[in-house]
Amino acid sequence: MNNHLEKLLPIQDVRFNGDVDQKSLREVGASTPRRDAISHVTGQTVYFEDNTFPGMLHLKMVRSPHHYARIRGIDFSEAEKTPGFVRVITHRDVPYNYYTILRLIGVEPNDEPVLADDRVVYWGEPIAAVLAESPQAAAIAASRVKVEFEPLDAVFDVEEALKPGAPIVTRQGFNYFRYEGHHCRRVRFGEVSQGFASADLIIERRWDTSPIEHAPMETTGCIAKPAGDGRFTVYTNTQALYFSLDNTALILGIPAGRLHFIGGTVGGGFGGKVDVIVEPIATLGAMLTNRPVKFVYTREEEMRISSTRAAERFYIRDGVMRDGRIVARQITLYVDAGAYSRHSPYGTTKAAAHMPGPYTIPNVWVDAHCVYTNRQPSSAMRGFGVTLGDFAIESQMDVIANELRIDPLRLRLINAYRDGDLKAHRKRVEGAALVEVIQKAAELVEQKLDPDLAAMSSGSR
Amino acid sequence: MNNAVVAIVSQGSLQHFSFLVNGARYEVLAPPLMSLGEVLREKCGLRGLKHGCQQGGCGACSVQVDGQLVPACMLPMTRANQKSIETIEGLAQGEQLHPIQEAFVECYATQCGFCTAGMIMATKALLESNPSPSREEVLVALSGNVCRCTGYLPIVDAVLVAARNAHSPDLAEPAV
Amino acid sequence: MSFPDLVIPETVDQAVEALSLPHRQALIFGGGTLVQPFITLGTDVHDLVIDLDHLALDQVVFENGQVSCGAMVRLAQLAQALPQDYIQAAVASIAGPAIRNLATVGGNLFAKPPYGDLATLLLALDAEVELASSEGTRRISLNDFYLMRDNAEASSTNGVLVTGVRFSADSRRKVVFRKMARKQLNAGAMVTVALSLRLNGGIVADARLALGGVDHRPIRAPSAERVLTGSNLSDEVIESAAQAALQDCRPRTDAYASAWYRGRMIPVQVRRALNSLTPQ
Repeated sequence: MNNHLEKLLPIQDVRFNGDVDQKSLREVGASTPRRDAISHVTGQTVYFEDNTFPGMLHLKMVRSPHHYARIRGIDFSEAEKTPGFVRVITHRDVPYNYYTILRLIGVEPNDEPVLADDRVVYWGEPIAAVLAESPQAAAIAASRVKVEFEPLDAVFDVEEALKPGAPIVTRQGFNYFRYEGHHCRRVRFGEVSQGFASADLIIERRWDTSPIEHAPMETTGCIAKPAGDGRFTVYTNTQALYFSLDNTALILGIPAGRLHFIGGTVGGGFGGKVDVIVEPIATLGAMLTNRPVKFVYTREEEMRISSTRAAERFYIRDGVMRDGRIVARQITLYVDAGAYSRHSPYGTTKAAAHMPGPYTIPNVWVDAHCVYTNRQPSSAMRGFGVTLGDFAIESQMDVIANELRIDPLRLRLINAYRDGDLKAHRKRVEGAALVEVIQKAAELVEQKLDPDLAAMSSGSR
Repeated sequence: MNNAVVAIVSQGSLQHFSFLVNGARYEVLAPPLMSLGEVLREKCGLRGLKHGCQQGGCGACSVQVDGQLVPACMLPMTRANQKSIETIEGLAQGEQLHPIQEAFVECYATQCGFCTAGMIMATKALLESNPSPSREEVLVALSGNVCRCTGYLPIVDAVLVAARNAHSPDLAEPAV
Repeated sequence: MSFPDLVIPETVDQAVEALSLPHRQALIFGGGTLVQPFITLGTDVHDLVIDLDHLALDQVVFENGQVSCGAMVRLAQLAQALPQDYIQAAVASIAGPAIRNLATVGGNLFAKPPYGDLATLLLALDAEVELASSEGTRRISLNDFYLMRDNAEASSTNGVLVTGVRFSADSRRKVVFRKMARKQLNAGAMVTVALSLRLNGGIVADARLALGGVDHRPIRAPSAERVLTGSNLSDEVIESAAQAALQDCRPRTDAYASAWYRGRMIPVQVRRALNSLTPQ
């Protein structure tokens, strides 16, 4: 068979490097010193802010004090008189004033402006960037900018935001992300109404979480510096270096080849430094002034304005049999994206796919909503879209175990999916190990399992 | 009695300050109310200390001033004049790491590294006044230093290992 | 411009004079732990900083059950100088070691909730503040000083400088300090309780109950003190005092706890403080 056709066949025979040369692999099971430990303990590791350049300007953002408001006008006259003031940047200066995070992975619309134009939709939203000779001068000048607002009614709750008559946060006319024309991600498997009808007991609970702030030790920031040849060098602590470079190029309307991003040293990310939120405006500042520009979040900005893990709300309705089998599971979940999309539409898709948890349930119904409110835009954090789902699912499992007076491990073992089972979103289970992990964990905590549970395996039901 | 008020130092004007850092003398011009942290980083090129909060709340900027542990972001330059300051850069002797630094490497007490300089200075201040701390004393000594990566246990172990390696009697056992 | 004017007086008289220099808003720079962040972040509001470091207000004297303490005494220094376990507990509850090396006794009087734990203890120890102004020096109770500030026009200094604090460390009194916080170390107060009792036989001759984190500043709880005075420390009296304390508080919501939760915890913490003084 010729090579071209070989590429189209499923991969049957995978060979890893390890199969070829075992002797060169020594890391697993060994204690290997961290490669960066010595530079950390000697203070030699270079974080973005450890670079400084002559003539560097400091950027301080003027931010919205309202949750939702129209902008009627801005007066910079007092700010301009501040000693050390250099210039201000508004939306009119931004070549393409919209973040394009999701567009880069084919998801639209681009909903978040780099700098607000006629309105603000969350407390802290950036309105204008002030550049000055020192961080103190920039902060003082920014505090003297006067913005005239017309406050509007805001909405802070995901279910309130979906009710008729709620304030509309987006420019699309509705407060949810549209998935291929639908108002939520949907999973339909079997027929839950029949499952509920046949169940011995219906158990229904609601689970809520709060937004969580990553609180890295190093706040978000970057320094953008003209390289002197029409290019810009950007020192940044982003977790998403290429994302940031591409977004910056699109927003500034320049070829990506004119940008040189230096990063990879992050003083704590956890998903909080993936929003590309400082590089475009700092680079624009460098472009407009031909001087290096530093934009670093204060601790207050990091804690109160930077993105968080989304708050989520779950309604889980289960039909269960007395022997512990779950025969129907219906889930309605809401992800609070806050005022803008960022990564939440993607996270909500993951959330939907993660339901109903690692269990084989014959009838599953899921509606997963990505909802906009006037809260801080939420974004990525440590398994976003998935980890909170597990909190809700496993809390629900414990409730079921309690109601049925069944050992919580038994409940999980009898419902755990097995190899070859079809999941609710139509993927086959492969390489399942939940049964074995529970058995091993029980052994480690010296909890003796009943013989029928101890004999179970992921290979058979 | 002389009631004349000492001259006002007008805004933005620079004063001359002289101080030691890690035994070397520095002469700088700085606003007297600029923090020691900003002066060390921006004017002295000593960027090992980090600014995590600028409010004394995180410990990442901890240095020793005349032997005392101090958040460098909280001390205005006017109060640091003529003082002897120690920073992370003063611990290693060429390629030879300080025992505290070795212990932090050995115990995997670093991840992103941003809290590390402050943790090590807090450790140094502790061991200089209390060479054989209990685990509880270590927790108190490091209570002003925040870490978001390690969960603290490897750092506490590193402090106890450093104390042991300095050959002190009466030791608490690290968890490792 | 980027930094406020700085004045470094060499005497208390000079410091008082500096207060009357024309200015919009002044910052009194004691330890700096409450004030330096405003300066570093860039303040358009404060145009004058008055540095207290050259006024020699850094002595602690303990004699005849009384402590006399300059306003610039650092918290760490206070804990070194005084062995009483309630002093140790109060100082240890505040921030971390580096902050305690800088923060001052005087400064803690002005720390807004959820801070001000030493001030809370001092209220229970019959503290008096030594004040200097253009009219000379005087001494008033800390409680009266707080009431005076409650009623004064908005001005960070009011032309008055706190130069020192005096308080009772009478070993015949039963004193307890406890602070409820989210963490055991380095956390602001949800509810701080400082209690000082003089007992005659099993009867409370007089009681001072101070609470922190439960109002806009540290407060005394006279409703609880009235329940305790003249009573024994039975379970019923303790419960009654714990509930009465709540009436004196106007707890607020902050990042650490809601007003509701503080309200639930105030009687619990007061009860525990009282219980710790009864033989169990």
